[in-house]
Amino acid sequence: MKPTFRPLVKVLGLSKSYGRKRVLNQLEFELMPGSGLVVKGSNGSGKTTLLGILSTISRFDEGLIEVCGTNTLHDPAVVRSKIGFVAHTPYLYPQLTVKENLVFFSRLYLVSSETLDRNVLLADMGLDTRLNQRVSTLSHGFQKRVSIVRALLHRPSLLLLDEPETGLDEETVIVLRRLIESFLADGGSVILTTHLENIDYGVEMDNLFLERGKLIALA
Amino acid sequence: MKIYVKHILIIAWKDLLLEVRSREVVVAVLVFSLLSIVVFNVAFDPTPRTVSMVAPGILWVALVFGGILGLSRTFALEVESGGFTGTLLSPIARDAFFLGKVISSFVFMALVELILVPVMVVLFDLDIPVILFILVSSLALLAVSLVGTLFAAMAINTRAREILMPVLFLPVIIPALLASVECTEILFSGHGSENLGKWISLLGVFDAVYLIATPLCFGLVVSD
Repeated sequence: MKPTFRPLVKVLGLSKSYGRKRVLNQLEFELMPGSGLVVKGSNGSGKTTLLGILSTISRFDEGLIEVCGTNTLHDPAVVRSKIGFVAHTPYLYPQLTVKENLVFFSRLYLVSSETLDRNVLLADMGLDTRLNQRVSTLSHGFQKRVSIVRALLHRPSLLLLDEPETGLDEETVIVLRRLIESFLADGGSVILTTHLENIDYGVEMDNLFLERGKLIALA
Repeated sequence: MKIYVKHILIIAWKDLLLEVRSREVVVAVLVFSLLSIVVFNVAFDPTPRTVSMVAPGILWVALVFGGILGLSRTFALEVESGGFTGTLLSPIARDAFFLGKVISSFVFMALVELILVPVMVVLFDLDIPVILFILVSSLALLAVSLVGTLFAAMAINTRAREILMPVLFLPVIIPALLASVECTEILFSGHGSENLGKWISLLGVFDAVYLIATPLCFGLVVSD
């Protein structure tokens, strides 16, 4: 008997409106473990809204969403424990140091301080020498690196990246691509959004094209 | 349950650490409240006969309006920095996030009151029964923290947040404000202690109701 593989992400009939404006319209797709999906579309096509809904911080009007087999409406906290999110804004506390931010978020994700101390990503990201620096004193690129470490602290199954290359220097873009590659190789799944047509992340990923909230192509 | 309590405490720890770094909220609230007391003192010019009637109102109006300023500022800092969204993206239950912020707001307000009350004692030559006053203050500050934290969260994403927060907050806090003023007047004057239990009960019931309602509402408020 052939083993059946459950999709890591299942989206059925997803719709969302802001007032009278429909931003997502009957969107459906699946993402298998170990695979990546690039969501492409122009500004206002619904890409960021989609990630907000998948991460459970935004509500939706219709549809069914399951992440790692968990319905996002029934158990949103469980879903969030399996997701890492990197946006173009770092979503950190600038008045706290790198270490204080990571300690705070690691405690929210129930990751022990010992695990944090052993985190090799800190050195890979060049942050081991910047732990006691306030986040506000770091460049945008380094703040993004902190947010990447934060997103991976709890070993999520799904990584959501919202236009991750925005505002990054070349070195950090290379770091990001390597990270996506190794995350996928380790069996994780990635959904990332971009408004750039010809961006290359160095790994083969499916492409989902959105226009005004509707899926126009999945390749 | 253990994780839930840990999450509440980590939120409170983070807020207190941020405040130690920035000193924005407590200092702003304290300065505002002290100035309010001085202005009221000049405006009312209370005599020894009227001070026990006027001083409670002055204290609680200064704290409530100072609280509006402080609570709005706490949320503004969170949202502007992006840390608020970062926290919402974690597995923390929304009500745990809310209760953590209530605890830190309570601590900030208590610190302000710890300075305000001795100033008032000196300015107005008051004699306060300490234990009962701590009880009344704790219940009153809890009311301000619960309601204020919820409405600060509601107002933060609107354009008219500076106006919306007091417009939402003040009508709701009136029963607690009234009870606080009445209790404090009884404690300052030493008269009417037979009614003290009634007003403390009102404060207690207010706190109990909003302790249940506000965490539930917070989750709806912070979702997009």
